[in-house]
Amino acid sequence: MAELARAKEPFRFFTRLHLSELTGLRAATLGRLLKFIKDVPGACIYHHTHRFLQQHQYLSPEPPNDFAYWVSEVLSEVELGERLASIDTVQYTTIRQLREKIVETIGAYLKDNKSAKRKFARREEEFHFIKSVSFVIPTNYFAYNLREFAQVLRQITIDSIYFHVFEARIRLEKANNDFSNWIEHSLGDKELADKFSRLDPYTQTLEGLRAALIRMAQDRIGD
Amino acid sequence: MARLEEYVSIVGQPVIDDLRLLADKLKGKVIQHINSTAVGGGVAEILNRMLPLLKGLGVESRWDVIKGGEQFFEVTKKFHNALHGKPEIITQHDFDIFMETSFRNIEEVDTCGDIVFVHDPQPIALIEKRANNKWLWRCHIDVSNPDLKVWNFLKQFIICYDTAVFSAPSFSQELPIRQFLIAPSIDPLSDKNKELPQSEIDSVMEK
Repeated sequence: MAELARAKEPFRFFTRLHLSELTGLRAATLGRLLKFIKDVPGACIYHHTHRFLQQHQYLSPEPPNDFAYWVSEVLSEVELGERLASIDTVQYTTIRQLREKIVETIGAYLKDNKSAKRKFARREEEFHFIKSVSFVIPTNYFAYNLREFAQVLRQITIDSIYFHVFEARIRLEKANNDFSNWIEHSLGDKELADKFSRLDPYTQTLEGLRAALIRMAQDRIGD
Repeated sequence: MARLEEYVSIVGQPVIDDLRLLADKLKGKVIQHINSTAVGGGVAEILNRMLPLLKGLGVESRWDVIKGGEQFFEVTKKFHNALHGKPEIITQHDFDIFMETSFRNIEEVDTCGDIVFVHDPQPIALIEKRANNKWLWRCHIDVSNPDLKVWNFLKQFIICYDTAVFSAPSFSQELPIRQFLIAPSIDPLSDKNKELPQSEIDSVMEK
């Protein structure tokens, strides 16, 4: 077995558990939806744009964000729903940027479609704003080289993968996922780090993502 | 009763490992559940399965049941229906009966848990015993369109809790306390839910 580069610092895997906090805020019209999207905490925007990734683990590509779904299915504003669904989340590195894009998309649509303002959802179909509360816990898994890294990737929960790939990048505003950062800065393998960064995690299931990450690490070490 | 290891084939070992990490955070704490019945009904079904699993994780937990007579449970049944939006005639006498039993339970139930989960409206007034521990009110019923007379009566207790837990977003209300969503869950290994062998299904169908 070939000698592998040893990391300056080991990668410690964390896991992430979460609770959904109800805000009590609900919208029945596009106008109210837009108002609340502007005002609610970033944790709400995060919840409604990332919830599907953990809840629907067997669908690929993932369903769109909650806003797109509600606008299409409840208000029957299909065109706006498509515009919201086509927002490419991976392009945004902060929740603030993502929120601005959603606000801009709904605002522009309302400007051109005055009648859309008059549509109401029935009480039981109102949009409920929910906030995501994360609990991040260190696991006992460490990796000092790529082989150990691939091995641990097989053993951890998808919640751990979710935390290091999605939450670290956009919610903790690290600009990149934790795996790429470690591979570049602790293992000194910029090429593989870039490969990890280029992977669009929003277009696959979490198990698919796990498999892709393992495959890339294994290809690199020739296993 | 199923052991924690038996769930590995359903959720995978990593999920059980994560639960153990979470349980470590609760070391030294006692989690107490309080409801109105030890058998029958959804809450008892959940707790009967959940407590042994918590024990398996090393989390100290206890389960207490309040006492109440026929009149008390007739009133809480009316509350239940009214919270579901069904018209019910609820008098001051009903509220008096509810409080009379609640005061007896406040005197008798030991609420020594570090974290106290009170389930549904029947034991709700126990919050009067709140000390330095954490109190959560878990509402298992649909309160999206409640009779306001009953809801406002219960609300005076709910707002004294640290947090409320609902089963669906539409059940949440405007409250000054934090509210969390925990979806209803079933135990895949309980007699009611476990997979049956095809031979058993066939033999029942043939009867």
